[in-house]
Amino acid sequence: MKKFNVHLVLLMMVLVLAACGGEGNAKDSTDNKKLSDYVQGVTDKEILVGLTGPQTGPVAEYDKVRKGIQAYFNYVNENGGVKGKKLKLITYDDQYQPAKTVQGMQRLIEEEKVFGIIYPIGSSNISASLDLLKESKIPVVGLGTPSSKFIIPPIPNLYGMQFNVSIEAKIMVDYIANQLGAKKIAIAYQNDDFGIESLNAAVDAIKELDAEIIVEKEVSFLSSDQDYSTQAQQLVQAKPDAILMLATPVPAAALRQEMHKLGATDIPYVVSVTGGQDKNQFNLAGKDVWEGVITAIPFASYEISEYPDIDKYTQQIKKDFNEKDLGALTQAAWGTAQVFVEGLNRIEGDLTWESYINALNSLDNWEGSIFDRITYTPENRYGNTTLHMVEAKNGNLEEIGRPIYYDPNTGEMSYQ
Amino acid sequence: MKKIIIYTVILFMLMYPLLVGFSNYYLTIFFMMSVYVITALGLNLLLGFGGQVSVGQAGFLMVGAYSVAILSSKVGLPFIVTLPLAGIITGIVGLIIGLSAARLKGHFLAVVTLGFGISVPQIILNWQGLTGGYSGMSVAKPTFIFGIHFYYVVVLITLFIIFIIYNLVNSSLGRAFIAIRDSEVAAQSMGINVPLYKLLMFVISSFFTGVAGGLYAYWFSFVSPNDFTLATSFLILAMVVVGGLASIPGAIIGAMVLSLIPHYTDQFVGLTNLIIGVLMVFIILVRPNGLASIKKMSFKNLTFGKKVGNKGVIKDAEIG
Repeated sequence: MKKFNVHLVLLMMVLVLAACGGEGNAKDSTDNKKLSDYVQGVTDKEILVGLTGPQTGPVAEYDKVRKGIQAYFNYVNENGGVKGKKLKLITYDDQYQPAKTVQGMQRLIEEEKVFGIIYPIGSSNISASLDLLKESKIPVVGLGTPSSKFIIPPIPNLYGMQFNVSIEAKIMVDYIANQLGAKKIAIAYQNDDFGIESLNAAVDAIKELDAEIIVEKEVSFLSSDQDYSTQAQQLVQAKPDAILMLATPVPAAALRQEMHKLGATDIPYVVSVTGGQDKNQFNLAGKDVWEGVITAIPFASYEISEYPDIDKYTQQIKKDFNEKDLGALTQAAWGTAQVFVEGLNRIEGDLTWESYINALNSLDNWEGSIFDRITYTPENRYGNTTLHMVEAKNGNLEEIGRPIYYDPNTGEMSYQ
Repeated sequence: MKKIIIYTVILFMLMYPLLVGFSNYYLTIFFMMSVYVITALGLNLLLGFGGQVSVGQAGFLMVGAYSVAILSSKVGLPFIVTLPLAGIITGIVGLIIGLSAARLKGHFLAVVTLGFGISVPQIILNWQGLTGGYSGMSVAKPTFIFGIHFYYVVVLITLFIIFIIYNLVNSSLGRAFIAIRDSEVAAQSMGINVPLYKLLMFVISSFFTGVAGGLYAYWFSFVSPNDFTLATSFLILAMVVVGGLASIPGAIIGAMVLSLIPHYTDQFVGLTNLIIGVLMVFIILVRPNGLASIKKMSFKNLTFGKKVGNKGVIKDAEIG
């Protein structure tokens, strides 16, 4: 260390100290805080809302979530804000890495002192932050994961939004049995948490059905697989009446391509929401190849939506960002932001975490958002339980039949 | 003077939690600096002192992190056992990778380590029974006697590793590494067992990186296949280059600078990577020996891309 540079060491210490300054260093103990009188991130002029999610890296596509939320907040602010206060979104890029999510959450909750967290993305990212979120008791609205483990059993300050895999499997199986009239189905599933949870839910749903239906074949694959020809051949040999594909977008497209090569696209190919909801599937699989695929979306696509304020979404996204940003991700984010703001609007009296959570729990089949209806209670944290079955036709996802609503209280499905 | 600086730095590290009011966020910033300091020192040992290219350090970090996760959660071993074991397991993996280093050099070695860095997350993703696959694994937070905060344990381990590496590069072993870097033929002719020392480099480097990965698992209480990607490997490489190849202070400064940048830039989409990229290019053009080589900031000392000796950037690099 002969040439150990004194100035650099001192500079580094100053930099570290500078990093600590300016944002309030003292950490409030949240362990014993009373929700009834606790509030942070609310001033006379602003309400601070935090978001951590991928903005760069391999899944940078999810940055559209930030854009959707920011666009809605801009829209609200341009129209007077919430209770006279502007909404300010503070975002940090986690590059889909759980440790960065934790760091971002710590910064948002302890340093930025945001009022609430909106739309955290990724099952493992939320898992890594779960202790912090539980301990801090901060309201978290719109979990960006289809997994049940964060909402069953319900955690008082966590609210789901992405369509739940178990409910989705029930709806899909019901559609295959009762609408397509299939007696024999084959299930292809992604061999990971998401795929296995979906598979188990589908098998359970089949057992609960009145209709006689059997699972002729189960084939699995990994999301990292490059070749799906073996799985395609196994599916064709099973001669099913329909194939239920529980996967993310790339495998869903790749398997469809293999089925196309085998000339087996006449077998109804029903793809989970995660794997099929984006029109980009036409690009991944090929426009002709993806044609005829049946899938589901958690809200009517903006091109065909009957939601009266859908124009506000399209105009604001075009104004704040780009026409290319229109689509499922910004639409879901816009809807989640609507739910977040509705909770704020419903508060009577002081704005505290407890009053906000009580307000969210009062959403009972609320139809004021891009989603068909939203319900939250202390026991039910699904949020949206309505799915729209769609078919890929001429480069679009066209609705087939009316939306299907699942009632979490009774476990019954009804066509709206 | 040197002693005063070292004592000041140590005092600063001890006082840091009080300065930040035990804020988890600021402690995490410091923690990540420590992890990257250890990792950058490990890579510097390989690349700077040994001349062995590795662009798969993230793979070693991940092996260390998962070793701790598996040993503590599934086997139930305590911190005092799991952390050294994480280093040893990663060292064994480093030995296997090092076997190829004994035969390969330059681009070919880079490709092998690159392949290793890419394959580790895939293996973890697909070995679901052991690793929990996509959903990751939870790790119980360690508890220490007298209720000592984990931060101080991390500080102690980091300082200890810096001390070990400093002594290592100034020992006969370190001089052998440098001799191999400068000329394998000359080193061999002087009686240095080149393949053996190359293996040793990989084992030692991966051992320390594994310990850093283990600390990471304990700090966040969670590990997943998304934690250390190829981008992490390149970031660690950037730390060593920005700080200064073959320089211990350089690796430390590089790790600190690149760990701190996101704190200032994360609110702006894409700015972090842009600044790191620009800094890399700037350093390579202006100070090829890294930030550690800055003595007098004058235009006279700036190279602006001029060739620095026959051995390029490492010719004038300082040792220790």
